[in-house]
Amino acid sequence: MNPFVRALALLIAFFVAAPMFIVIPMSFSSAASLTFPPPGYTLANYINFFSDPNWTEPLINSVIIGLGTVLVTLCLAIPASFALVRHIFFGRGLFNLLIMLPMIVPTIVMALGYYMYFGQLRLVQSYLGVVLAHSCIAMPMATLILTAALKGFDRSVERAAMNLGASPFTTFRLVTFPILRPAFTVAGLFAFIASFDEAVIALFISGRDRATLPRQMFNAVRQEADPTISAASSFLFLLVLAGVCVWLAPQFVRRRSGTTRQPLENGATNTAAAAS
Amino acid sequence: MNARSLTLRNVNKSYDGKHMAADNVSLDIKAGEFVSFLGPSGSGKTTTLMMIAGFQHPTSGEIRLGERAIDKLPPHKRNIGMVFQNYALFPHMTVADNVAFPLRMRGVEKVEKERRSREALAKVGLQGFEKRVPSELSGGQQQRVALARALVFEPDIILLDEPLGALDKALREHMQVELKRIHRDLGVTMVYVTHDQSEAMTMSDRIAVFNEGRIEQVGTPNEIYFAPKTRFVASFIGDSNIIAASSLGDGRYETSVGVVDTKAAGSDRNSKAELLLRPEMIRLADGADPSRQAMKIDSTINYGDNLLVIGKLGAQAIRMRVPGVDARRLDGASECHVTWRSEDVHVIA
Repeated sequence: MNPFVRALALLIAFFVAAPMFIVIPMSFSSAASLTFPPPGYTLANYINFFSDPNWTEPLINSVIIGLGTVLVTLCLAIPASFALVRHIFFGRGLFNLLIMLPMIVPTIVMALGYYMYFGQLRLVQSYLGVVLAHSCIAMPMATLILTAALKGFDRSVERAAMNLGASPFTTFRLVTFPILRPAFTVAGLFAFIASFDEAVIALFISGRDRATLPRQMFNAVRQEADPTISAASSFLFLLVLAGVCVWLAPQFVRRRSGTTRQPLENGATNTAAAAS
Repeated sequence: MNARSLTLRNVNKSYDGKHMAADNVSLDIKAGEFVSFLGPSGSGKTTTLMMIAGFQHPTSGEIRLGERAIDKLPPHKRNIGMVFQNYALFPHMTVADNVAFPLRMRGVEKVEKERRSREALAKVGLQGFEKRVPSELSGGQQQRVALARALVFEPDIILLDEPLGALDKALREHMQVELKRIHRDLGVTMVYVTHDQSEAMTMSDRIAVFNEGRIEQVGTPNEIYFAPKTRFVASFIGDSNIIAASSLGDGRYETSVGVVDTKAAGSDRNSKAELLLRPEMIRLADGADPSRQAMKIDSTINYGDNLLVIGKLGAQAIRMRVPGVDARRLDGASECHVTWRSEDVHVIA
């Protein structure tokens, strides 16, 4: 590679990662407010983050809402993807567009809509309200991942299973689902991440009772510049990083150990292409 | 193994209500028979196979397997084994689990299941591959696993959908022999879909030739090759010279290459017909042969064991195959004398 291009690439990578080089050291800072560089180092921020109910409650809320979002998103995106890929029906293009819409519509506009609409339905400040809104945000990516995997799925294996005596349900359970499991996992992971670091909608509708972690971080920085926020940010970052690693690790290990399980990898590779 | 007969009675299939993918297909396949469906792509052979397997439903007509009407049954209740074009092995299961899958669906208990899977793998020559996954096998080995999986549960009939299409030539010929051996050993009824005429010729007890959704002719390889009933069958299988003719009665025909004698039964005078003369039936004539005709040579293609001569008898374009040992006489010649036996000329009805 051209040395100039290499230098440029490193510079861009550094620029993208720069916030982490500030936030992570700051999370170990002994200062009582957000200052950089830190005057000394301590774990006090982390201890506070994991013990103060002001932080642990939003963390638990975020996890509950994230898991709920995964559940709702997969329950909707899986049937939708099968319909989009395998059936030709009236209004398919429109249906696809509707699912992709949350990617185009500004989040703030959606948040305002949810705030007014969910207010009437008494869903504001409830887990259900936030889960529904976050599922909407997560749908486009999950559907993209699943449709990509389904398009690459060879249906003759389903026919083979049925031919060999498996009912349609057994075929799904023993053949279709296991082969597509990597795609389902990745779609679920992306849904969780989409919910876990979502702030705008949470600000509008999660309320005090159901505050998520990003909302609490926003409150903290606005009200008192609580340095615990840097520990929260670092934790959020590590969790997302861990999620991505969990997904990538098996592929990396497999490639290193030199076994050739090509068809098994295909699903994951397709979805990686769709996700990038 | 329990072989069963298969009967198709007036089976029709249309996807759009206008174009017929299968047009009044009727066929009787005897128990233990090896029948090929031969035809170009889009001729309805695969559609017909899919209807037998249950993945497509006939618009009308009846399909019976032995005494059982199966056209209303879902695929998993038909007890038919199928080998797919791309093998369709389960990528997430080992070879042993792939082969045992149909037994698992039938609730066969563990010991019995393992014994029968092992036997089936032995039949296709794949002992010791149980723990592998399909992606660790070559194409030919995957094909054998697919075959073992299709016969392990002793189906009433085995369907093969262009199973050798993805293999290279040497392996394909080897697998043809293997398939025939398995067919002979097990005595199972087999239906084999292919667009490769030599494959159909070498393997089949009978061939059903498909064209535009219809069966043009059903017959033994020799009947199909030497006595085709339609012009399509004559031109689709093998190389052919088809000569327009009008009858003079008593098996004599007036053609552009003169009066041709045949052994066909008498037909009405002046009725139109077409005569089939395979290129290898035309032979170089001795100088003294009274039936000889002069043929103009336009070009030749040398295959070593035979020479394809492309030329004209009068105005009629003719292809002739000369055995390699005789072809040396034709070196550089622009004309030759040819003849054929009247019993070799076939009249297409």
